Formats: sequence, C-alpha cells, structure tokens
Amino acid sequence: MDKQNKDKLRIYIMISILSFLFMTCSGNLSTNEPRNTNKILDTDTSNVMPDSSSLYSDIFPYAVMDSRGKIITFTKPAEKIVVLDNAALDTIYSIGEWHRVVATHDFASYPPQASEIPKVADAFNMNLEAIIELDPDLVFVFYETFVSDLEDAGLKVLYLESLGNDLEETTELITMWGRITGNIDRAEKESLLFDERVSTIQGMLSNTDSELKVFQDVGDLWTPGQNTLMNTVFELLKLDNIAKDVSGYVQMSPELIVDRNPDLIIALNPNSITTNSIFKDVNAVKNKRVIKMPSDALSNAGPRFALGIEELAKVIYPQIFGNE
Amino acid sequence: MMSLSYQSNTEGNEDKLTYPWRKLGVAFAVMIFIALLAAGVGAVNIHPLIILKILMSKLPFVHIDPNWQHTYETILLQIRIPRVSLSCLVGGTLAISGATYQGLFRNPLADPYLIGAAPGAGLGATIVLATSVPTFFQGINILPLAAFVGAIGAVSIAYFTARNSDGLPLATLILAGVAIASLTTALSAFILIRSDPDVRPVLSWLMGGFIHAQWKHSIMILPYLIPTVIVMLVHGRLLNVMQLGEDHARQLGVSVENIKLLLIISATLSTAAVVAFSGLIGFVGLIVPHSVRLVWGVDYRFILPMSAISGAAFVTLADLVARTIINPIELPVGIVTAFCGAPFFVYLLRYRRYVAM
Repeated sequence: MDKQNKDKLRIYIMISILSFLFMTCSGNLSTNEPRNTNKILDTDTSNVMPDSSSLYSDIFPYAVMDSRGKIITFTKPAEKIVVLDNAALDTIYSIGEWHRVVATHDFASYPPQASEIPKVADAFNMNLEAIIELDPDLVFVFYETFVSDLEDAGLKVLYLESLGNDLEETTELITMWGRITGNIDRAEKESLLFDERVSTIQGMLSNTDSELKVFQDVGDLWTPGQNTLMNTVFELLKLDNIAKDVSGYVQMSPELIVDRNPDLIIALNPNSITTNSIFKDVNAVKNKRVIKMPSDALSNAGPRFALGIEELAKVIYPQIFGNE
Repeated sequence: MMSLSYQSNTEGNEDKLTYPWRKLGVAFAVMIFIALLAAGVGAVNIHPLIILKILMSKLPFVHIDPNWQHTYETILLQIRIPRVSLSCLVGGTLAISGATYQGLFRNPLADPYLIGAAPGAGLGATIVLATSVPTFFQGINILPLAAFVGAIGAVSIAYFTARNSDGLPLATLILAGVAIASLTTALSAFILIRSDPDVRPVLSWLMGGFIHAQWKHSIMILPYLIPTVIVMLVHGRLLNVMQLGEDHARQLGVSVENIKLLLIISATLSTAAVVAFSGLIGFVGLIVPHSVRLVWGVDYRFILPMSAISGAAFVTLADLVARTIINPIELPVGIVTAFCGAPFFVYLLRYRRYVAM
C-alpha cells in the first residue's frame, strides 16, 4: 500500500515536472527567460567547398550557427523540410516557399495549409520513424531534446531556440529562411516589409505620450514581465506594463493588480476579469477596457507578428489607427 | 494491537481522563493570531492603523471618515480577508478529512486524496482548462463544478467497485482507488499532451492555491463543510474503537458498515468542495494529523478537532508565505506546504520516537 500510494504521488510529480520542463522549452508560446541570441552567420564560409554548378552560387554555401554553437552548412536549397516551430512555419509561408514543408507538429495553427500536411510531433514526443520515412533534407526544431536522436538517424538538423524579446531577430530569421530555401530576394522584401510595418506604427504613435498602464492575463493571472516579446510590443505601443518589475512570465499578485490599477487589461478570458468583484474598481474594468487579443497573430514571432501589433494598435488607439 | 503501537506523548500533570479543552483553546488562539497576521501582511503594504480603521468603519454605529486610498479597502476586504477565510476552511477540512481517513483505514499513508478524490478533481479541472470546453458558461465559472464532479465521480466508482454483499472491504477500496487514480491520471496526462502547450494554468491548479479566493467561495463551501465536519467530529470515539480492528469493533456493538459509509461520504464531500476552489494542495491532509498524533497522542476525539485547527493555521501561514516571499509573484501554495512542512515533519519523526501503525 505504501508503494502504491507513493506511485500515485510520483505520477503527480512526474506530470508536474514534465509540464514544467515543457513550459520552459516551449518558448515560442511562452518565452520565459532571456535566451542567448542566435547568431546567424553568413560570412566566412570560405572554408566550405563552393558549389559552382549551382544556380545559387551567390547564396550558397551558407552557414548558420545553431543554439548549441554548431555550424550547419547549406550548399543547396533545402527541398523537403520538417518544421517543428510555428514562427518558422509562418516565415516559410510568407516567403512563398510553403511547398518545401513536408511535415510539422500538432500545434501548427497557421497558415491554414498546415492542417493538410502530416503531423510528426506533439508536446512531448517526436515520431522519429515517421520523420525518417519522409526523408527530409532538413529538420528544424526549437528545443534540444530530440536533436541528437535526429542526427543519429542521419538527418540534418537545425536547432534554434525561440526568440527572446527582440523584434530584429524576426527579420534576421526571415532572411535566414530565404537563404536556406534559395529565395533570398523574396525574403529580403518580406523582412523589409516587416520592418516598415513596425516602424509605421512607431511613427504614428510618436506624438502619443499618454502612457496607458496595461496588464495582460494569459490565464490565471499569469503575465509577461520584462524580457518577453509581449513587453517589447507594449513598449512599442507606448503602453506601461504593470508587471515590468519582474522578468519573464509570472503569476501576479491580485493585490498588486488592484494597487497598480491598470487602464487596460488584455485577457485570455475577459469574463474572468469583469465578473470578478475584486477588480470592480480597477480603471480598465470601470471604463470597459478589458479586451481579448484580436487574434493569435501575436503568439508566434513570425512575419504575422507585425499584423498582430497592428491589430492591437487599432483596438487600443482607434482614434489614431481608425477601425475598419 | 494497532493503537497500542503509538507512544503516548501526553506529558504533564493533567488528568488524562478529562478532555483537554485547554490545549484546543490555545491552538485556536494561535490560529486566530495567524489569521490576523495573514490579514495584516500582503503584497501591498497597508499600515496596520489603516487596516484597523477600515475594519472599524465597517462596524455598525461607527463612523470614520475614509481618508485612506479606496483601493486599500478593496485589497483588504475583497482580496486578503476572503483569502484568509478560504485558506482556513480548506486547511481545516483537508486535515480533519485526512485524520478521519487515517483512523478509518488504519493506514499511515492515508490522506483525503487516498481513494481517488484528487486525480478525479484533477481530471475535471484539466478537461476545463486544457480542452476547448469553455471555462465560462453563461458567466459562471465551471471549473469548480468540474473539479467537484470529478472528485465525487472518481470516489464513487472506487466505492461501488469495492463494495460487495458482505460490506465494504477497506483494502479493496484502497486498491480500487489506486486503480481509478491511475486511470484518471493517465487521462489527464493524455489531455495535457494533446492540448495547447501552455500548461501553466493546469500546472498552477494542480499545485493548489488561493489566488482567486472570494467571499462567495467560502460561502459556497460552507453548506458542504458544516454537516460533514460535524459528522467527522462526533465519530472520534467510534474511530478509537475502530483502531482495535473491524471485527473487535463489531463485537463491541459498533455498526461498522454504517460508520464506514458515513465517514467516507463526509470526508469525500468536504474534500471535493474545498478542492473545487483551492486546487490540489498536497501534504496537509497527510502530515497535519500525524503531527497532532505525534505531539499529543492517539485519542481521535482530540486528534480530529486539533487537526482541523492546526490544518487551518498551517495552510493560512503557508499561503501568507506563498503570496509574499517573492513579491510581486505568487507561488503555488502546494510548494510552500511541502517545502516548509516536510522538514518540520522529519524533525517530529526523528525526535518523537514515532512507531508506524
């Protein structure tokens, strides 16, 4: 009986630990800590043999340093790519190279075509056999767990941890995928467009100095603090994040939410805030400014992130951005 | 026999035949002190004088000009005190249910979650939090309802699995509970794995906490707690008899089967009610009754009320730590109960010469 009871406990602990571990590695949805910035190398590839017969001799060879510090070299465009990361899916789609994606994971939500290709991984596992059977010439992952398994199976793996809090990394990644797929022209266009859209918003807000205090509830009063992509978005939109004194995602004390009195609350479930009597005197609730995220565009740091920022800007500043 | 294997630690000059009301009184006073402390300290610093003024102003016939920030009133009356109230009720209930199960099953590892209540509630909560089932239905949060139904459902399945024509063999009930627990835990894990990878809400619910505590939660669980806790309290003497073994108890004229049913229903109902609003706070229902037994002896007439009072004080104190230690971050209270409770329990085991059941 002792043992069985302990087993029960152990299962609980296991689930908790697993969930916890997963939380920290599923950075594209929940960037917890500042991460090492990924250095994308496109210089000093002279030691790699040039593929002179290639049409792409101005692009290849191309080398990327992955999050382990290992150099991954490309001598021709990757034709069949298994992409296990939402931001990368978005990026490849945006540069018109979607046909190269042969499989993805269960949580691919965008583009709509993602539902039509095979799913070879979920939150905890990867179906190695299915991946090998597809015979891809590149597997892209954002966490390290299965990298060595994939490499042992003879596959080429590019492992890049998810973005930290810097929007410039998004444009770097667009360019990187442009090189890997051999479509550098389109990628440079897209990356310029991304920068433009972001700086347009910045420009339109340059005369706004009313710093609205904002609180985002991603569920159960968990909220992004400093060193998160969301905090970067808030700064860009001239919002004053009430959780900016903490780093990463934390569960915020309700007493402090009332005390800091946000003017705007972005909630997963606006009902959970507006029907809660403890928040009835908070400005955001009194002035009916408890909103839902307009879409899931801000959940991945791909090119669609610019759209997410625009959508949010329209909801928060209808007088500046119009509301069509 | 079972009960004789405890070392009685009753010290001092008190007459052992009289009921130790004084100890209960002192413990109750300590609990009230902890509750007041917990109401006075929080993430937002409010001066004790202002707290006193706010409280006084709420009394009838007292008029004080509200010269304090009105948010302080919300923080104190709508967040902090409801939270202290809920943590007292939850802690007390988990501890007395744990004590009841330990007495009933005569098993030192028994806690209120022994026969499936926790994994059942966990499954209910996971379904609501991690699938497309809406958390709010017509403005009502269905999470507590799902947890409550899950807990009652799992225990009922275990109960009816174990029950046979001769009655209810407790060892079979525990095994059935373990089987149901494995099944529901596997289901929860499956749902979690197939769900959106942001599992923080589920995780923080599984660890337990009072971050959403409101007055109405305390009020909603009272109708479940009052009758069930009274039933458990009045069965102290019969639980003492049960320590001799079911057959002996039967020979002494105790209707064993009725008591088992009544106590299992009481402990399950009260546990399901508190778990619905607090999540799965571990450890309390296990170590508080043991600690009481180690310090004050084996009489269930005393263990039951003392566990309730100590459990309330312990959980309130743990929640105070959970919400203030890393300001402005909330920790799940389950982490604190285990982190602070385990060393204390190890100390008791080591120095109170505990002999296992």
